[in-house]
Amino acid sequence: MKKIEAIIKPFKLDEVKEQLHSKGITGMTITEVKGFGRQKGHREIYRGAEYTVDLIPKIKLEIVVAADMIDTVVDVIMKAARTGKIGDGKIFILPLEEVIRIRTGESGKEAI
Amino acid sequence: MYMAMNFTSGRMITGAAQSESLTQRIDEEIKSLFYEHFGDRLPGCTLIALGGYGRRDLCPYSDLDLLLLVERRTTRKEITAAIEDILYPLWDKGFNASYSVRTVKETLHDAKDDFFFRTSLIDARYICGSDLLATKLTHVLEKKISLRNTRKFVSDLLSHTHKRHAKFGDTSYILEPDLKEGHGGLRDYQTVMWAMKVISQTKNKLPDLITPMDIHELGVAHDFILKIRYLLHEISGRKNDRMYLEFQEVLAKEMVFSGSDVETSVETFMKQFHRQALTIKSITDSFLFSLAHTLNLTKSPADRVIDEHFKLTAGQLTFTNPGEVRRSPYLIMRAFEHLAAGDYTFSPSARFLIRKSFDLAEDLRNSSQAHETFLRILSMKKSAKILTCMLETGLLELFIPEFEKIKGRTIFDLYHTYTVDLHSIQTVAELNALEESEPEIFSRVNDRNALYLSAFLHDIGKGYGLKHEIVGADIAGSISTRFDLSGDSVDLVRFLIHNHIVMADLATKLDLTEERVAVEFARKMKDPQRLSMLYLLTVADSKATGPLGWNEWKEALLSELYAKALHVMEKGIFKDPANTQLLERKWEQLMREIARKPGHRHARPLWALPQAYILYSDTPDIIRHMDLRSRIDGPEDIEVDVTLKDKHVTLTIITRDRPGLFSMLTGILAMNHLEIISAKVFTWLDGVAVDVFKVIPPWPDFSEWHKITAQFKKATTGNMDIRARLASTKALKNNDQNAPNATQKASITIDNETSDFFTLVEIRAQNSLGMLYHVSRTITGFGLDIHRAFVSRNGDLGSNVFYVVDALGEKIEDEQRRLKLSADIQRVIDDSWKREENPLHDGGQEIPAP
Repeated sequence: MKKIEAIIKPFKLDEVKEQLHSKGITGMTITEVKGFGRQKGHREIYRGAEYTVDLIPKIKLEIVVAADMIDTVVDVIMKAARTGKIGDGKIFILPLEEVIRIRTGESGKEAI
Repeated sequence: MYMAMNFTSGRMITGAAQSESLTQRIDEEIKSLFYEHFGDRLPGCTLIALGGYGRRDLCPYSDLDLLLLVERRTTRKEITAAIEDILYPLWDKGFNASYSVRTVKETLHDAKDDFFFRTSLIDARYICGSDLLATKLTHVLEKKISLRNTRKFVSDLLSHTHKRHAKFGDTSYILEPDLKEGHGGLRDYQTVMWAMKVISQTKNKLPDLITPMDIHELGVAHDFILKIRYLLHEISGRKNDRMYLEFQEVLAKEMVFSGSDVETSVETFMKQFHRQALTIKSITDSFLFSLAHTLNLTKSPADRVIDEHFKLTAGQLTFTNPGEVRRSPYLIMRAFEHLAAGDYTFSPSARFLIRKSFDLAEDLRNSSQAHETFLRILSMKKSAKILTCMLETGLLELFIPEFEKIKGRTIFDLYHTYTVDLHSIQTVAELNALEESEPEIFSRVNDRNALYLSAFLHDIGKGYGLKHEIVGADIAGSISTRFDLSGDSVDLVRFLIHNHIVMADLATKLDLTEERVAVEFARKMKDPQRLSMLYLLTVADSKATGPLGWNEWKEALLSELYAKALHVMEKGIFKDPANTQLLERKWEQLMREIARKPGHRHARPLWALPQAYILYSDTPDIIRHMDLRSRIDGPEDIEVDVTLKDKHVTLTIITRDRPGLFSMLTGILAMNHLEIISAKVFTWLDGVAVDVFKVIPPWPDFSEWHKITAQFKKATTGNMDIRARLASTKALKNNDQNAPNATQKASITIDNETSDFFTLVEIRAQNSLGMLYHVSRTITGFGLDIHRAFVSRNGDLGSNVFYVVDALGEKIEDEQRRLKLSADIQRVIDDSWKREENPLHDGGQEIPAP
């Protein structure tokens, strides 16, 4: 089992969600986050004054899947979240020790 | 076990009857247990019911507070054992029964120090045992009541009530209200009853603090909520006073509420519930205020005359001449305005007068003075408090009947914390706060009335089963017309309400780094005032929705959309306000033209046309370009169109955009001695570049257009060394491009301010052969893409503006890079002049004269 964390642009959320859904991925955790990577603070003219926006709003997706689904999920996110411009985000893949469904106590793949 | 008690919550009986019946059954049970365990064995004991049990307000799983009065303390040990024998069966039945054993003297002593014990004693009720002791207690308690300890009691009562309200929140608005402890809940009713009971026992004569009408309404509301509490305990299977969303549907069914086309049964039920809680809340507040004042517990401002119609008595606003209200109903609205201006409340008589004057509602609705006053109130600092007060007295829905629909309405989603009526008022309050914190944005708003009215009415369309922003715009439109707002203001209100959910939605759903997003939005908003108003309304609405509706994340996106659209209006294509209308006309023309064309074959790429392109191109040209574009497919396809008109020739080149396209085209034009008078370059949103050049041919009967077209095609496939060809091209002697004046240096500006999306490279320089080629080649050499360009010539001086971005679509943020670009462009311009002065400088060779 793996956990995928993807940082994407906010307006890409619907598309990514839809595409994942079509591949049978229905469960995920979505968080509104702020941060920066290579797309460092960009400067904006706001209310007449120039200021640096150093934390950019993004969406973080967390998805847990069986290891054999990784390629599919990564591929779907890559395609759906890409604009080709800076700040498209990143995908992190983390090893996962165990998943337990609280209601039933099921664990492992059954609990995903 | 609980079922054994067999609580039957008959649907049609009142809350009081329901609780009464349960109380009786418990009484019977306790009595029989009492005789069994006390009987003759332990004489001189009396069992007294306290608190809710004493009041006969019992619900399943309620607390049962018992007081065992004894003659003396000595027999206590035996008594304790006996009373526990009474309690165990009650515990088994799910009641949280508790007891205390006291003598009359002890009871009196404890009541002095323990406020809660004292309140529970107010509701004390004899159940069984020695009635002698019970009478003694009553007698002693009554004897002890004096005005002095009444004041102390009321003062404690008020302070505990304030603390309780702060802790449990406002039952009349909260979506998961606490039926017992919340503001507007059952405890408020009891508070009023306790105070009235205690006051009535004082020997001193006190003025009337509450009207019979209020007492009646209070009783009805209390009964309704008591009944719900009974059911809620039953459904929860425990003592639970919080009406969680999951229980509301069942309760609505049990309370026999049915839905309608536009409202579910639970919505109707909760609306009714919130109204009843509101009644308790407002009557309680008014009563407690009067009470505190009457007993001199609060410091009130000195009595004074406010104006000819109003005076301040005992810190409360009163009508000077109550009879006047019937002649001039608008005075009611003025009374509210005075409340907002000072920190007053209505006197009980003023409050009663207002509620009694509801038959004047129609006069009030038609009074322009009332309308003006209401609009003034809306934008006053304390407007939220006043609007809430209007809501509570019932005036609001009489003055604006459309408001009735959203009064107490619950929205069943995750975001909203308050009912729609209070949310509307809260939105006005948030707008008030924004006026303080965002003076700059507010300075763009001229029509404050329209903005405040929109904030107040933005959800007025809820509950009709249709899109509320559309219904709401219509309703608010007719309200503003009734308020006699100008046509422009009515339009603004309609516009704002119609769009009040759009902006927050677009801010998260669209790519804000795209110029077209900001331009489209600016176009829809039309002017900075409307944009700023919608932004303020959106922020106020989101903030008033609750903590889930607003956070820094959402604010960042929303303010980015606002700032960028505003920037487009102030520095971009809508800088000239006339452009907004011009653009709309152009679109209309274009749509008409297209509709005339057979087969609508141009419909396809309309989405791809940038607004700036539409604005700066003639409609017939746009149609022509779309024709040409339809023949473009692969990257090597190129369409060239030559039109001769007067002395000028217009060359239109359409192909897929690619780095270096503009320098390739200008290079070939220079090779052929075509003098560029103007050029417009646009990149369509489907990635196709449209380059339109106006050129002067080198000699009058120049006819080598086919050759040039062939060169374009050849260059597109990469089979031409333009640089080498151009180096060997020499200026024509008869060419009217004069040798540059060495004293005039080119001026180059790299501008990051004008656009949020592009760096603007602006060059003013004297023209020379191939200069555009060299300049654009330098730009491309920096890894920049020319997205848009405007070239024009005025006499010898050329003005060139390039909109550029880097390979990642970003502006040139690094200042060093901007300086280097500027210096490099300066150098190639200088070089191109030198080449012209000395054709052989670049190793070029003369070409044969034509």
